Amino acid sequence: MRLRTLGLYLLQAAATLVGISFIMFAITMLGTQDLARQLITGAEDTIVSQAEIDAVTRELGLDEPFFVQFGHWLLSAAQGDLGFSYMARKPVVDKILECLPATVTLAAASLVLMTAISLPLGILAAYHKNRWLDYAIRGATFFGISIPGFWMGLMLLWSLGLKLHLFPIVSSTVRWDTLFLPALTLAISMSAKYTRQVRSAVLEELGQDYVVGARARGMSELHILTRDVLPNALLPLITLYGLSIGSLLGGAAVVEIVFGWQGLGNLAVKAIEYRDIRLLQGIVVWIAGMYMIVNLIVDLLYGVLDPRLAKKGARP
Amino acid sequence: MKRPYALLLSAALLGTAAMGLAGCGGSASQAPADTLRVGVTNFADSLEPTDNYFAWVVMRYGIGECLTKFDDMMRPQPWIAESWTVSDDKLTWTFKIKDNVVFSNGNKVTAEAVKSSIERVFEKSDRAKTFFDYDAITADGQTLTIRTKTPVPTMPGMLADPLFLIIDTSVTDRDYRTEGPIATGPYVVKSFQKSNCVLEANPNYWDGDVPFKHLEVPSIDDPNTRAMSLQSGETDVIVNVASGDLPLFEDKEKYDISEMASLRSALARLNVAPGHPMHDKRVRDALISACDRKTYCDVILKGTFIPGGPAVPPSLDYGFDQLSDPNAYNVDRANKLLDEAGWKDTDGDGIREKDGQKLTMNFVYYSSRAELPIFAEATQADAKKVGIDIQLQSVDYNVLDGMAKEGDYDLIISNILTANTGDPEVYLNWYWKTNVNGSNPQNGSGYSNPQYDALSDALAVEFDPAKRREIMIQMQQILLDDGAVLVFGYPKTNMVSSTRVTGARILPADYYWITKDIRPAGQ
Repeated sequence: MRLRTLGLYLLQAAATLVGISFIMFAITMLGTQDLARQLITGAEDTIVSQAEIDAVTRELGLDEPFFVQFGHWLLSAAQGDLGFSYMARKPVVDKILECLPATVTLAAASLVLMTAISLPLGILAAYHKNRWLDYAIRGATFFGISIPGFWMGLMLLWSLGLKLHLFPIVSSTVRWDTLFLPALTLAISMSAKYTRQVRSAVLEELGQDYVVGARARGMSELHILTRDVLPNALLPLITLYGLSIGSLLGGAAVVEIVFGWQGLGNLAVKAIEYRDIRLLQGIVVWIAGMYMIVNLIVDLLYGVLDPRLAKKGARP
Repeated sequence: MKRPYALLLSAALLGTAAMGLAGCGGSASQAPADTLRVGVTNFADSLEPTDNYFAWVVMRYGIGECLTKFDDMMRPQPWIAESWTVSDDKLTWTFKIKDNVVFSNGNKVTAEAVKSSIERVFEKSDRAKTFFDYDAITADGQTLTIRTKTPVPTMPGMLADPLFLIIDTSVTDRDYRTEGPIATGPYVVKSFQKSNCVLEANPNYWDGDVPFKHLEVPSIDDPNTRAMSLQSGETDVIVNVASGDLPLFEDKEKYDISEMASLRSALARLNVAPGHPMHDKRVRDALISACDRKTYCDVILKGTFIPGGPAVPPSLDYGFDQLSDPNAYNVDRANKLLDEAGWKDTDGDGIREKDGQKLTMNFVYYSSRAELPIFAEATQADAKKVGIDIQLQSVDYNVLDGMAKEGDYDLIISNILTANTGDPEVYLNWYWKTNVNGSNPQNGSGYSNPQYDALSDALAVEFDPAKRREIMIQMQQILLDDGAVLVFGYPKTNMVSSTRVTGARILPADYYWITKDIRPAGQ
């Protein structure tokens, strides 16, 4: 990717971020009749005096016109200040940074687990195409895709935590032992998808002439698999991987709530519950930004891993 | 063909097992005998008591205490203050501070310290003035006087709110947000994160010994996970178990369940304004009589609600047992009332008509509380049995509030906290005092009863708790007689503990969770 292309990409990313934040701002502001009251009570039926509502309205500048509020927010955001979270009583950036380690740790662990599960299973299914092992793996992937994350999480907690006492139930602090079950929950549903992708990509490569040629030259299957098939088969999976990373860095709300994991997903749900628009806005900008950065990295990686694309300046 | 499989399988299994094994070992185990672990849900990001409602958490975790404390009927009782009086002009309250109360740093709690603490609240919190406004606070030894701008009949109850917990303001080198304030409770903060708070016994606690040296309070948002944490022994006490999970803890050898009605009422406000079917008292009486609220609460909601009747829940001492409900469940009476009102099913479709109009009403509800759609659907089913067609309308809560004010409904649901400061005056006024040209915007139902308004006015200047109680009982009886509200029930709140500990007890006020009374069993 040349410098000019990179510049254009960043410009496009900035415009997208502004657009997304405007839409988010509009939805939150226009969809709520009494924002100050919501901020005070969350979604509770609680008696709140008008004086209290007025004070919060003044404090947060909610009495200003919509475009003025958005303009103020945009100017501050451009300087790295995403505003102040009423719910957490701290700057939005601080609150996001506070939840980030938990989210990144969970994302990384679930990706490692997912890869450890889906890669061998996908390859096994491909090598055993239309035999019982292939059917069994494909059946399992249907199971993995169909099971809702919260149920899977509760079942893992019940079986491995409560019954077998292998892992703690309470995951309110980030540690190795508290990380495994939420990461496994996420990994199982992702693995179901990836296993099928790996299977299909490997199958495609195994049918190529160069594999037949390699076998004819007497090369070992391990050599063919690791040196020839996998590098080609996994290339298209990089895009999918990028999307998963982007999604995971935005937090996995349901799983985080089940396990009490204090990540961004959990935070986003709380922000919605309390109508904390500044915080919500910050989280959305973060998620959008992450998708863009990961997408950019994927684009750059494609160029490195497949020199043909670098020459053409495009990717399939 | 064989080797790649073996290699890959081994790699996968090793990878997964490595993470798994790394996780094992720190798994569930009983805490040391000197450690108490309490599973809660925590909304507070910091322990600064003047921010938002964070003071609730400071009190829930056993860090802070107030001048007064509510008992199990929400009557204010002495805590840091030992007694109080009000002057003849009703503007000056005098509190006598106990002589033996000290902060966790050993400093004595004097009237001057209390004064400074209350002034700090007013300085830093917008919410303080919604309780009362003062002209002057003075301190003399252990005597504190608060002179208010207007009469505040419920001052002792106001000062029981956690916002007014007493802290040592002379300590300035402390980050309240992460370390908590220096206060008078049985525990002091060692480390605080929203997800987990670690505390230690207050070495200078003034009110007896602190039963545990260490206290851990993890925040576990999901109720199923919270229940499992107690089953696995990772917590000793959990707060608010989901209704469906309570049977898991019926084994009295292992668990104690403390359960009682909360301060909430789940109710439907009825629109009695002209043009609405329930403008006719007979129609609203019929609808209320048609609703089998006992079955809703005991059967459908599995006993997690106490069946409704009066506006104020039985957790408050405002005559729940002495009030009579003329509209108790009686289907025959409901049919008779509707017949008398001229509503008859002439076309045989099961819905009554009058003057060519069907007896149709809309019921607006929100779904974020699981029981509310159930109440709405049950009402719809029972109403149909007497020929009333209820159309359900599900909306987001923030939309519902606006509709309630506008009167854009026939029935509108509510699950409301009735008496945060121990006294339901504000709640009773909010929904049912006459709204004259927007004077009481929360009453969008058109309900107006001069007798009720007169009692409300008398209540505003009445200081005698017994008389206040009597007035509010009369107000509730008027609401019952007028068929002004359909109260479905009062949610129960609970605390479940392992028999490893004793004294874990839930109270109606939702901020007395961890107290010195939770002790190791056998002590």
